[in-house]
Amino acid sequence: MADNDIMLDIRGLHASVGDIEILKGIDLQVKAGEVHAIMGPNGAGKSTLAATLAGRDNISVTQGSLTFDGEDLVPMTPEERSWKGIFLGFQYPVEIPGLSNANFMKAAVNEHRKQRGLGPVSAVEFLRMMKEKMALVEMDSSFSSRAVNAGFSGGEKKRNEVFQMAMLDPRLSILDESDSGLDVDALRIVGTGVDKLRRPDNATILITHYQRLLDYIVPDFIHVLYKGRIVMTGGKELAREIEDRGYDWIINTL
Amino acid sequence: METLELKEGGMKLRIEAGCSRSLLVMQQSDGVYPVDITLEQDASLDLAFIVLGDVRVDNSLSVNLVGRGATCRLRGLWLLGGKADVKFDVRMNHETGYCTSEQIFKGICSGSARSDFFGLIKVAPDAQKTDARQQCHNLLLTDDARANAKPQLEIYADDVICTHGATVGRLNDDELFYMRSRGISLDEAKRIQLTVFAAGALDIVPEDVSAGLEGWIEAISR
Ligand SMILES: Nc1ncnc2c1ncn2[C@@H]1O[C@H](COP(=O)(O)OP(=O)(O)OP(=O)(O)O)[C@@H](O)[C@H]1O
Ligand SMILES: [Mg+2]
Repeated sequence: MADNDIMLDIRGLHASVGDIEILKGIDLQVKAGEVHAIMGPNGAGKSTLAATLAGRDNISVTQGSLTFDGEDLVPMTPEERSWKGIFLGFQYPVEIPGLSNANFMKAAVNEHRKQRGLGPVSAVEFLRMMKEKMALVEMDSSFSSRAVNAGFSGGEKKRNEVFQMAMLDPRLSILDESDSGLDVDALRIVGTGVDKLRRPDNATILITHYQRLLDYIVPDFIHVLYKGRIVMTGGKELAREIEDRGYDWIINTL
Repeated sequence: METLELKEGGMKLRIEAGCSRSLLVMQQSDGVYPVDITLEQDASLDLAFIVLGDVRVDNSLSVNLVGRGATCRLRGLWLLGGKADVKFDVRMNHETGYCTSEQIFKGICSGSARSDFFGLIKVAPDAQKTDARQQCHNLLLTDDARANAKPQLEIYADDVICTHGATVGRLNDDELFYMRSRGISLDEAKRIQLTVFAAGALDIVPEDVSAGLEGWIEAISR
């Protein structure tokens, strides 16, 4: 039986892109207040799992179940999942030329408010929010008038993802390689920024290849994803071991 | 920007030396409109076409840059639905040197609408230092919508800049998913994408005119 404080409950999840099965039976339970890290070699299915949780429509769930706060996620649109409090930080954030970051966030914030029966955010309040959340990731205010991710450097895009996360105050954040391509200072800024957003009532899934990010946001569990399955789960020390020894020693025992 | 009513029988317009005009053509009913425009020395023209709805419109436009230093900025935006059938035949004739032309066309077709764009840039042998640019981009929102865009260059001078680009595409799924993952509803995400797309052809148009298109964009995005 489902435990009452389980926020995200993934059971026996299989998912395909077209005819190709990529997730081959995933079980994962995430409770409020927890941080889970997912590691695994390139092509293991980490981003596919993240996109499945966010409701990407080219991925179909073929078996198993996916619930969030006890509600079935599978039939929900991406926007409904966002309204419920799921946030995906993209491995490859999308550029939207012609749409300013500020207008993008205003549209998003207002839709979230609408779902809660609130009117549009006031200009003053919105500016205050933008300023506060940009400060969290030390983003220059000039980024608010620039087109969404257009021409941003790799690191700037990742900071922009965490900024958006802060603006939307999600209950479950799935950050797909938010640490990739960051210089050491940016990594510290993103890491401490995400850590500051932790609360007992929210949860975080960090997809990463490196131990470094986990120095800032210490995970409760680390899962190793390989060929569409979680093949090992351990504590925070597993990251260092993987960094030292790679994945072969795990794969060879399968 | 003044509003220009086109006449079905054909229309000639001359912008005299050193003069500048800024004209807006709004088309919401059927018709065949040949237009012939001549720009004299240092004349400048901003001309925008906006074609809306379920209409059958056949525009053939020729712009003749006959005096040195003439400048033409030409824009076209069509937002079509139903069984609309819109043709644009544009001939930009650089007959003499040191003239500039910049054309930006954007079309959105839904329902079973179709649009055909043909754009010729012709640069005469002694029209050196010509700067002629043309873009025509189309979005199809339904399987039955059609768009053709055929640019053509005829260049007989060597010291010129001429560029053109034509595309026919669909809404960008990656952008839509990105917006939706932030809680922006599908309808709103489409509306934003179409607004941003259309804005590229509205840079010379007053803000109240582009704001007036919101309802059309919303209607077409559903
Ligand atoms: N649209 C698609 N069409 C075909 N194959 C796909 C598609 N999307 C993902 N795949 C395949 O699914 C597998 C898992 O991809 P995924 O992006 O989830 O890996 P990942 O674990 O995130 O890898 P990385 O560490 O490189 O980011 C890969 O083999 C990939 O090629
Ligand atoms: Mg990935």
